[in-house]
Amino acid sequence: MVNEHFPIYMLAILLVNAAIFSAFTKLSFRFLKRVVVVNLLLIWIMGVSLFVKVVRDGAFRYNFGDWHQAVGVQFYVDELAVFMMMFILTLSNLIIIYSLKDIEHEIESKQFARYYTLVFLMIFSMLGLTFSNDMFNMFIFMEILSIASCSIISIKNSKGSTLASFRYLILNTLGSLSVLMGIALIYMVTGQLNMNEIHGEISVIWKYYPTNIMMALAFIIIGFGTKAAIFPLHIWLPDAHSVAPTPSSALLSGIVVKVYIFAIIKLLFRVIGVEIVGELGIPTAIAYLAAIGTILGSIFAIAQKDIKRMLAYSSVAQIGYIFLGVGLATKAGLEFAMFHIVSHGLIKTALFLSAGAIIYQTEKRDIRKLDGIAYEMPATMMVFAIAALGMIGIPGTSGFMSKIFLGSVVLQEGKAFYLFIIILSSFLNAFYYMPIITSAFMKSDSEAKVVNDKIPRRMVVPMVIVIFLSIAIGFYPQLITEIIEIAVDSLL
Amino acid sequence: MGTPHSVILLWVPALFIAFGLFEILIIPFLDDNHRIVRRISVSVFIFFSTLLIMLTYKEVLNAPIVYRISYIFGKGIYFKIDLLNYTLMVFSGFMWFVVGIFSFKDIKKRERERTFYFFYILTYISTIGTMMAGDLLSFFLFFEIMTFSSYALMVHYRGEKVLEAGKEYLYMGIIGGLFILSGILITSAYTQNYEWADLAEKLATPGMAKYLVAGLFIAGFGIKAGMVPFHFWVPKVYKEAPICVNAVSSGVMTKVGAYGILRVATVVFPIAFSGIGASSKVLLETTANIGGAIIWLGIISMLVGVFLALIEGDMKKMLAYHSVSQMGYIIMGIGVAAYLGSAGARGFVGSVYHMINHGIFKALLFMVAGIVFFSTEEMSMYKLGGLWRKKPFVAFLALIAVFGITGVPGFNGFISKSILHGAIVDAYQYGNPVFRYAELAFKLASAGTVCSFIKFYGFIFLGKGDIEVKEGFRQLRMMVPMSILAAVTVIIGLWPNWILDNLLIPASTSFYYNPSFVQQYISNIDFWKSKEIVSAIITYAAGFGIFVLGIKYHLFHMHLPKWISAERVIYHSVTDLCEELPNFCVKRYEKPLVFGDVIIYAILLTSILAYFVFSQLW
Repeated sequence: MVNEHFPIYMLAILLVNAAIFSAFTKLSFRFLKRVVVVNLLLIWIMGVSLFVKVVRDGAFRYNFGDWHQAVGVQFYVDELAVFMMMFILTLSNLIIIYSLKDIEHEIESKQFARYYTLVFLMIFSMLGLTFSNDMFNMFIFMEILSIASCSIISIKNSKGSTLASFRYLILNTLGSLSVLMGIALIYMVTGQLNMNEIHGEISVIWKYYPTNIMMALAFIIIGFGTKAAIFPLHIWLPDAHSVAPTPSSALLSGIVVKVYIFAIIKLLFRVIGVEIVGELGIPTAIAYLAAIGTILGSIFAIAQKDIKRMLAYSSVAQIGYIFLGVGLATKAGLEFAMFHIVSHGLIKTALFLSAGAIIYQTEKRDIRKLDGIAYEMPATMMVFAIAALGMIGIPGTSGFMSKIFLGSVVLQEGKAFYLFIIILSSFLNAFYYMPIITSAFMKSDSEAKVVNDKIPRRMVVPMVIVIFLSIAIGFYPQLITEIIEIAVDSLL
Repeated sequence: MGTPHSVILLWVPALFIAFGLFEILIIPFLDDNHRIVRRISVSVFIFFSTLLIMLTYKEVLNAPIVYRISYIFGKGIYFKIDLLNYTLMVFSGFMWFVVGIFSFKDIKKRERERTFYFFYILTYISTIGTMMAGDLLSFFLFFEIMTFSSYALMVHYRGEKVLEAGKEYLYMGIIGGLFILSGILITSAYTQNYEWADLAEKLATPGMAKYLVAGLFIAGFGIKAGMVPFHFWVPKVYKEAPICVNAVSSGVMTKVGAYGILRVATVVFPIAFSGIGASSKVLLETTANIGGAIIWLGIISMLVGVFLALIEGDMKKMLAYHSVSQMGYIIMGIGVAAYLGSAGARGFVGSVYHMINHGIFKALLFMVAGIVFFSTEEMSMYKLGGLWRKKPFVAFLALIAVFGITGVPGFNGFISKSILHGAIVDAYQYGNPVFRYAELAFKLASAGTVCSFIKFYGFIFLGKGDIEVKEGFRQLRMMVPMSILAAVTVIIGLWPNWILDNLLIPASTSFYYNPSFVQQYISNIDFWKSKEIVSAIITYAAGFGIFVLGIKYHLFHMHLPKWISAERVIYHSVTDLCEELPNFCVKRYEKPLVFGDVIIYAILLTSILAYFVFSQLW
């Protein structure tokens, strides 16, 4: 039953749904919710079966309309892509289930249908980005993703969100243009758009046209770096992620940024190849930027007063970790990057969702006003606390395994300096997460009684599942490391 | 010895953790109507889990019990019970049980009692876990859980001041954890392994890295142990914590830090490496160097702790400083154990023995301070006095504890201190003569301790005092655990050889210490030799002399200048920087960064392109 057409079916279902939502805006929200849930479940089940198929039978290429790969559109569904797909689908499903309740609180009711249109478009384009094996298609999906995220940031219709989304739009357009420029430069020398074809050509011709390729790489890295918020280009992220509705903050911070990182990994190591990239010194530069970003992201996070803004800056720091893994440009480094993509995705999602729940119940966004909040919403704050401990890297959470992996990877590479950066950054993480936890749990007014959270159960359950997944990976990292190993093998 | 029995034995760690988790799970469901049930369940759990561990004695004596749980943390973790951690685990169980009885009266915030016992049990489990852990990762897991759950115990009373002190404890705990984590990472990078054992051989190769690793571990564990210069959290947080938390923290949790140093000094760098070759020679040399450093760290802790205790008027803070000082004794013993290699048995036995003894009498002292505080609402020693008339039994118990800590013959402190003294004598006899000064410092610290406790006892219980004692304060149930601790103090003091023969001597021989040396210096030790007693008397005389001088010249009210405080130099400099710098950065740079987004993009792109073009030209 599972066949090679599954990726297409999934994309089609997502796209059709998005179209339906936007066409029939008069549908009642209850009905809309059912459609969303049923479709997501369907997609998820398809995703799981595709995942199982690829892991069992190996990767396959899918040529649209049986055109040859040099001219046609091609999907390459390998272990890496299905792994990323499972990550995207699982996490976004949980976030969307959470959003069904939370979104009523966040935006006007006439926007619901539009919101889910955008969400489905985002998932559609993210899946497309992971699967597509030619540069042009990748660019298209990337554009769809950028525009959808931009609209979702501005959906609240407030002054701040419009400003943030406008800035996001400008920078991301610049980024897209850069990428397009890079693609054009590569096309200029290779005459190919398909990744495999380019890879075949480029190893031969890069000696003849080094300047071209270097300029192309510079454009592409800057372009994707803007979208993935690598250090000096992260400036749009805190604004955008903090003004968006909470579920979309989680989507943006937990998944969308990771998809761009995934695209960078694919471009650097699959299209260009690790030898050429290494020769150009690009990974080293990325690693330096990542190290600076890790520290500065944390430093900026410490001084934030708005909880979601703080989480957004923390994302900048954590993205630094991931790029550090990419910048090592070794198998172990990339394995770590993939692992941390998942680990940070889970933890940051849990943090954003619990922060959203706090805002949902109490309307408090200022971290100085969270005293004793754990007595009002114990389950939420438990999730928040565990996730924050995960960010610091306390054993038992996936954050700890990330830190252990990254630490041993950098030491194996003999770059002990980065270990210092990691440890320092963990301390800084502790410095902005611990005060929230302690004031929430310890600073109660007089004789506070513990009461149950007043948020709907449909918001609590996804948070708990996310944090549970993080703990499971924290104790049994091989749940995902085994597949990551196979996947990264195919990359290098 | 049937099959079921051995099955149980093999599963001790799993059983312990399973029961512990079960206990943790049921405590939240026992609400305040079931207070009695909750307390009984806490006591019963601690009692039976200790019993469970004790059951393994015969097996542990033969060979360490190893229990492996595969797949956790990727490579799997394992637990290992050998005689060293067996001793400490039984001791911790005993302490937790006794202090648990005390806590029934002590814990005042009744509505939070449930939280307290939840974290009390969690801390107990994690403490046992750290001791039982056979590899570095599981050790670190339990160590961090211990830091966080004991933080919750420390700040049980909440409030601004308490939380401020607790913050210091927490941050120091996290910093210590990060030190240890870096140590673990560097070690594992060289050895590809997270196990305590097996590390030795591979660590013989790298150059300075092993000293870096040792330094990181010692700093990390030293923070937990309250070693100078990381001692400042101890008085600060003890002042605000409940009495029973002081007792378990000073009694057991600081010992976990010392235990960690001991493990690092003796297992990661084992004293008698089995092979004879270049690598073992390097290792022995390394261990000796590290051991020497640890001895001096211990000596410094001893002296600084005692000095700060002498000029402290607050009962709890003074006892806290004495914890620092007594940890100095233990750390010094550990140093000797590593420094002398196979001849360091006296250091090993003495430090482990002193961990136990110090735990017992220090818990008792904290309880005495607690009772004095409960009945008078006064913490400052200088305002108290003459309490022996109103509370004769407490005064009697306090006297036993004071005799214990000052090392009066016949009490437990005397036993371990004379072994430790022997150890430092060994250090200059068999090692470097420079340790003669260390021995002098040791004697000075002992005299200071005596002086300090003359002051403690004199100001609180003797003399004339008109402080009011609250009527109707029911202390009877608190007397039970205190009497148990006092009895143990005396029993160990009078019959010290029981613990030595059954636990510590086998442990030391299993650690590759030279058996004939152990035989000569420890097995046949006679604590009632006139020489030892005379030296105790001399120490007492010196202590009394310092006391007289101190009273005469008002030395006890001395205030140290602010700049010398380690808290200011180490802790506040870091936290201030971490608070100020971000505010400054955000104020100064956030806006320009945000609004200069396109410029940054353009600059970056041009500079990278320029870099490429230029690198191409050359």
